[in-house]
Amino acid sequence: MTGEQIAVLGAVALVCAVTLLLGGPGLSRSTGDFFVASRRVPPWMNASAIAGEFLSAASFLGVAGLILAHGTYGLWFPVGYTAGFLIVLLFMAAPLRRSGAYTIPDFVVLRFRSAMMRRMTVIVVVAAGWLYIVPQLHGASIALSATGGAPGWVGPLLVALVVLFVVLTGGMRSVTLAQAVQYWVKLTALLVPTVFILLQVGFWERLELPEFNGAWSAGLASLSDSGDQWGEFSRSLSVMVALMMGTLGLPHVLVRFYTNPDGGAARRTTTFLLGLLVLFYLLPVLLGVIARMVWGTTTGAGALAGTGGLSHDTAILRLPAAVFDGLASDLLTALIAGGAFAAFLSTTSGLVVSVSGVLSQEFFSGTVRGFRLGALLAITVPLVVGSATSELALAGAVAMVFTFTASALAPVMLLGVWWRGLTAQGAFWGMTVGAVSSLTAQVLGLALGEGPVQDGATQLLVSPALWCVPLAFAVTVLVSRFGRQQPPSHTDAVMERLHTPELAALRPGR
Amino acid sequence: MSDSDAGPTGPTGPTGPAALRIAVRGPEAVPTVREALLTRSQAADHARTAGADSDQRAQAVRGLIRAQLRLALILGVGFFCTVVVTSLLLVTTGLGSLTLWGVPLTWAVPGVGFFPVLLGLAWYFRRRSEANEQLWAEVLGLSLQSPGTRPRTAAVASPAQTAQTAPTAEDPR
Repeated sequence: MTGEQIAVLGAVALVCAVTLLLGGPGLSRSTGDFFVASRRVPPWMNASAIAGEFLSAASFLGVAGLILAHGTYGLWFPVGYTAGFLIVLLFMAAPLRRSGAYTIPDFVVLRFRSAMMRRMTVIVVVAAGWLYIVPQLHGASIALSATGGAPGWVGPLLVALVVLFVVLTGGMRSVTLAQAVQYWVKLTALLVPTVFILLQVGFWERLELPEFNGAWSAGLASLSDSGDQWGEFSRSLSVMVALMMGTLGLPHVLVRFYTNPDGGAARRTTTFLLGLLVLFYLLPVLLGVIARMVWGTTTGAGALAGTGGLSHDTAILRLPAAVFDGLASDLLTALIAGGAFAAFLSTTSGLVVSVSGVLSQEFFSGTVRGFRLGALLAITVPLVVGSATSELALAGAVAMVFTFTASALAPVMLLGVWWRGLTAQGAFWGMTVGAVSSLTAQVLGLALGEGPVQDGATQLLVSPALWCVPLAFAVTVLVSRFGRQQPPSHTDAVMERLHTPELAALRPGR
Repeated sequence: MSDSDAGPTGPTGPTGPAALRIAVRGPEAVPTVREALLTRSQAADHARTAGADSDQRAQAVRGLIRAQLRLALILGVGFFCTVVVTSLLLVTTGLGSLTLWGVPLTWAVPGVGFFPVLLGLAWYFRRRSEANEQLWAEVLGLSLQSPGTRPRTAAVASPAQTAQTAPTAEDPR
């Protein structure tokens, strides 16, 4: 075992231990505690928890990897992720909290009173959750094998066991605390190495030198073709649409809004959250640019592949070793690996909590025992699927999930909150068309291979959000308007509940 | 019926802006006997539910939803269009190769440029949406506690914070 491997395994063990400690038993008491922490979480803590939960393998490792491999295309991911929460703030944060529902299917039932819609939403939410857990486990696998020298199955299994323990014993309350801590762990784990690497590379002096102009070129010849300009443009735009709208449908993020005390607090939480995300995303962007400086040539990219990096997703993990020697390199690598593990753990546990919440409400009558059964199901399925699927780029895989939720859930959620004319029939068809079209297009696109920009029409198959999302919106609106069904009779009452401030915030006018 | 009409222009305490508002909004409505006998929280509850079928109430809610939706659409669609136009400019014109401290704009703008815009929009939306809710509460004769503030001062619970004066309703945290 090398010094680096010992340091990395030590850091990962420490992160797991802290997570177990924070998530241990003894903090939650009731079913409400289990599902939504009894809605007693203050905004700053909630914002940290949402950020901790949201910043996944894709953000922590994937963004810098994409910048290294594809240049400016990777820069759109942080913007899209952050803009997604702007959309959540603008359209969903307060109404969702005021709906008072536990899960997305609960919200759908409140709005439509339709058992069929509920079943449909459960399927979509659980599918999205499962699809999202797979890249997290995959990230854990490459992180541990690239730096810790462990076999590929160790990472996913470790994540699954830790998450199961925390979720089974603590539920949402302890997960909230653990998630809030995870954000600051992740920030530190990128901030400290970034500062050290910047000092070592002498970033600011060398920035002006001509040989580093290579870092600014659009794509690396060895890693991607920067071919068709319009293909590139439509790809970036499609990613923006998927990330902006897809955040609306992320089950593990939306469940967090139910833990705010009221609608106003939900808005404050989201505003604060945007700040936390911006603070974090500056770091992977910076590290991605540095990675291009270090490996920004064909030979450099070859060297990266040769150092045990399975893909460009391990770029951040290999960066300290490329810049430093000896102990400094070992410690910084361990710090980044620990932070990456925090990302896998927090996102996975958030997803497991929301998926098991949905599963238990739908199939196990909403008890604590049902929640635990749901948690078991929520992690086992991705573990099996993940070990069977091929390796995708982390950020690309997560973008696919965003495309799915943006097409299947976002139109129904948005129109459900803002449009009286929406019918259960319209919502059903919108959800179906969105889910089917985005999944089909992406599976076909995968068959064509990810990576280089394709020309026009093919690119629209690989990243289909640009037409899937408008299509789902159009179907929802058209079926609602011209279908035979009337909007639910209680629509006005629900609308009032969603959009007016809570009773507790009101006082008589004097 | 008169319950929901009562109150919006009542005396609001010793604060200056409140005194100004009375002059603008006209005479004070006299509370009903029933309302006068209620506790503060009961009165809030009562005023909220009493006129459940009144036109004024339904209209107020519709107005609130419309105002919030307009605000959200302007900001959200506006941001997306800004992103599209900016990236088109960077790709199709020579603008992208201009450098800022050695960094080409094709990198600097998506890398860091949109973040301050996002934060600014979020801050502005929160302010405006809370002002919209204040306005709604005022129409119903209620006053909205500024979210996040504990009931410390009379000014917080006074209807003086209208859409025009709401910028002062800051979150102290």
